[in-house]
Amino acid sequence: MDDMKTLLEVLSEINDEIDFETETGLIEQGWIDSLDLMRIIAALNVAFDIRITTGDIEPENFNSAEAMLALVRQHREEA
Amino acid sequence: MTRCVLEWLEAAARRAPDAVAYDAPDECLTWAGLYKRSQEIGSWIAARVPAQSPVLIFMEKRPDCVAAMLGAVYAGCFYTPLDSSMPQARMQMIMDVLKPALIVCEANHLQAARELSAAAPVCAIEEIPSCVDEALLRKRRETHIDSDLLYVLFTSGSTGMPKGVSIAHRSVVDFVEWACTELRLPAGVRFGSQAPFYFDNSVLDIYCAMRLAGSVYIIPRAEFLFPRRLIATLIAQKIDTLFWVPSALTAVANSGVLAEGILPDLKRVFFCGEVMPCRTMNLWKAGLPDADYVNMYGPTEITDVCTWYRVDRDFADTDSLPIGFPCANTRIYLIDGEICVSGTCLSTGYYNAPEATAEAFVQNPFRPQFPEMIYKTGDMAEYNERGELMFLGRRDSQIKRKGHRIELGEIECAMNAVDGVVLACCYYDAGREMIVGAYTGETDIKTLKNALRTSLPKYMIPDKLLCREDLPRTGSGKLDRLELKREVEREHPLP
Repeated sequence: MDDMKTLLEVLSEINDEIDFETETGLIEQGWIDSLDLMRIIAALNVAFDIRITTGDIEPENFNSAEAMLALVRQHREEA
Repeated sequence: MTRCVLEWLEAAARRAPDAVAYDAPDECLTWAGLYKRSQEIGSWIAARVPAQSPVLIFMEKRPDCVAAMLGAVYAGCFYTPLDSSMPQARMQMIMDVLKPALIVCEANHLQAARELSAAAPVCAIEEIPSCVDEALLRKRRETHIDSDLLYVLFTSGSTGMPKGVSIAHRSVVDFVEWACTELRLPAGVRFGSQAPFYFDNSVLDIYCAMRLAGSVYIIPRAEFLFPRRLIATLIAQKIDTLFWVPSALTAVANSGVLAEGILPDLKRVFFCGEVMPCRTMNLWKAGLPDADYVNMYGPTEITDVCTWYRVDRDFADTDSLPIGFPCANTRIYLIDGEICVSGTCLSTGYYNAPEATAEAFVQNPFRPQFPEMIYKTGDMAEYNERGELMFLGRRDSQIKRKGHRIELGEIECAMNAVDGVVLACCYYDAGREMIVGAYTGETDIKTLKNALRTSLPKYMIPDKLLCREDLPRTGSGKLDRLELKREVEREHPLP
């Protein structure tokens, strides 16, 4: 299963009302709040076996599924 | 003696007319600007509704929102701030209690505001003209007394109906004078504001800044998700004082961004709204060893804060931080371990809710000779060997989550109101920070969750919903939340 598919599944588990596939202003437009973000980070760490912490993220990393995938890949390389 | 909070605004506008009062990334009001705009809004409101009417401020957290709130006060009215993130059904319940005489909103929320109330006229703040009716405002001020209400803030109610806590001018005057003195706030203090205006922690930011002609920087909500960005903002804005809910301070501390010396301008770190973990405080102290740390305690019903503790010694990560001592002009009684409060800080009661008021605001049992009210907080405490108050927990089913005060009963009422739910029971798993909601009935979990999204704020929606054959009961036949927790943990071991 490819990474994007896994990611979209993880995200829809957290909130199935958001169109993660096409939305590109998830943070700017206020789609994601703090509860969502904490759950997303925790879920990404489990699903991709990485270690993202809140201290190394910026809003740009979560505006779209594409950006989140880039963040995941970057952390995977570092691991 | 100050009888009306507007006296502070007028003094600040004279003392520091061109200084920033409230600002946000792309918006700024000076003290003179705020004074003028509040008077304009006040004139407009006063021409339409009588003094002491409820005015709903349906706006985002922006400098203009403060002008709208103070405009209501100029008209001799009181305000309730709400923002558009609240679900329609809960908003409707608040409307039914408050019955606002007028709604002020931003132009882009006109439609949503009109749907809130068929009775109340709605106006967009942008459309209020720049005219001041000095004679009318003077008349309203002349008839003002300090027991007139300043605001009504809504909080979770166990019967499912949010409760409107009514606070008079004199309580805020009493609190702000105490805070400016004991918290050693300097003239020109600059706050980095975290609390939403519908949450009473914001009262300290708003009115202490006004009392001292300081300023409040309204930090965009999204920045609290990104600690690195947040720290950059605090530095760039030269913030010297924080009054935040502990979970916001914990999020920053846990992210690892608090290197020593990182916030040279920050002198004061204050917290209130939930239990402050010593571990969080120690992480902040490592980054800012010389700042003044003060832990405060108090429910909305006693005007933000009724006890305080200035951190004057070291604590281990696993210690509990005292809530300390009563604020000046406030008396605390521990009655069977429950914190009960008397003083000028007391709310005048729950708005339009005499029964709920009579339950929580009662005659002082130690002064049966004359009428004097105490407020029963429902919080339990004890004194430590130093004579400091130590918070122990709740005596009922109220919980705190990210500073939000939540009655589990309100969640259960919302679940019970959904078609196909027979009976609901909730508990809070503090270790995992999860609300678990169990129910019996035909509805599937997804339908229930979608229904709850229309009736509850997001922070109240259970993280886990479970459909069950049966719910456990105590010997007396009441739903047994503790037993439910044990059963669920047996059946669904969570990571």
